[in-house]
Amino acid sequence: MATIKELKELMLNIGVKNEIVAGVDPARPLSLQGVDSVDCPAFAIAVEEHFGVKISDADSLKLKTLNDFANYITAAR
Amino acid sequence: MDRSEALRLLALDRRSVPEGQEYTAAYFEPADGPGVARLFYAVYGDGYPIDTYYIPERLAEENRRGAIRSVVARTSGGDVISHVAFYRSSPPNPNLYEYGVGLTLPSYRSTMAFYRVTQLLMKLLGQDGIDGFYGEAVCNHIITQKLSKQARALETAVEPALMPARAYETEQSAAGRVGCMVYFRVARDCRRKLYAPVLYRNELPILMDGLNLDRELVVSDAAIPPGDGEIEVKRFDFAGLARCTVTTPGARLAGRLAGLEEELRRDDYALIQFFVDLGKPWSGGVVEQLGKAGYSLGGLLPTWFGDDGLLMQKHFVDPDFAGMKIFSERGRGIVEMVRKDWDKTKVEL
Repeated sequence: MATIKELKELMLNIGVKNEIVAGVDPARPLSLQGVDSVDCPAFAIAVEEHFGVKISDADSLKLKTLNDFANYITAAR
Repeated sequence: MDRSEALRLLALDRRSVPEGQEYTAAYFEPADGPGVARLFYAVYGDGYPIDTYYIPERLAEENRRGAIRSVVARTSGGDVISHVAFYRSSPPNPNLYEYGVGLTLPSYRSTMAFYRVTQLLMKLLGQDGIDGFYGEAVCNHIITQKLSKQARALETAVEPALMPARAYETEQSAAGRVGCMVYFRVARDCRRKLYAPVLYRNELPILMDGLNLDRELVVSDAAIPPGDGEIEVKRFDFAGLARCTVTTPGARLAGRLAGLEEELRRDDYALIQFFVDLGKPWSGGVVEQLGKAGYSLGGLLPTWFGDDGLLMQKHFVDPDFAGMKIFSERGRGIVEMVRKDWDKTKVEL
């Protein structure tokens, strides 16, 4: 299963600021924690590339929290 | 077909792109040309300054010969809803491309189309003669700086007050002149000599940090060879900007610089930029001459000439450093470095 730590590292890789990533609560929507509409699609693509899963546009809109991403990756693998 | 004919046909084209279509990201094919032209017309009207994107056969030809490498998001109906490209622009190094001309149809901006085309574009890096790319991200907002970071490019230079705000009218977010942050990512390179000008020997390692460049740093010669010296000048009248390179150094360089400045001031220019080839032992002498003539540091341009370049610039307007919106700590550090040198040069004059 994807760990929250791995997902946070991916957030850093796409340029989300350290202070934002450090404070992210995996159960709360990323959009309420300083991750904006430029970061979100880039993060979805980084997740695809790193974990070898496919995230459709429709699915990406449903993935709101880091826990959502972790569960999606587990289900897709 | 020329620009006016292309725009006339686009104005007559009343088709609209249905919303919500499935799409795929793909490398440009000649059949995408009309769709790209419609996309540019839908986003910029008739105001995009480069003709090629309005003229399908010209875009196809530029892609065929590798001067532009476009990636599009194409719907099942054949509409083009997003575009991004690597393209040859100012650098003398043909394997260093500029990254840009990214745009998405407004009705598809909530999709991942732009990120899909960028993802596919980045797969070209390191292949087919695309050894690296650079980008100029505007500093009146931070979105394009963020996108450059997402493309894993790093800040290496700053161009304060580069463009008149009217160049960004469609974005409705600029006033006065707009500065740019310059980003680089080099994927294929070899060990090179870098003749470090004494004036900037402390700044260069900071600017090179993180770029994974294999360089032999050599202190460059402050002397300039005898001879007249030649300067190549590219004028951008609409922007009040001149971009120059010293193609042949020479003792009469100072006089030539003064003549050039006089001419450009008369034409109400705002900025002169010089691109100095740091692969040449005499680069230190040229940098010293430019410094004496009031030019200050812009930053490093890795592999610009094949060898690395140094950007120096002289403003005829006062840049609004404090008003620049900068995304990253590294970017803020480089703006501060450039501002300090600009202040110092101003005091010395």
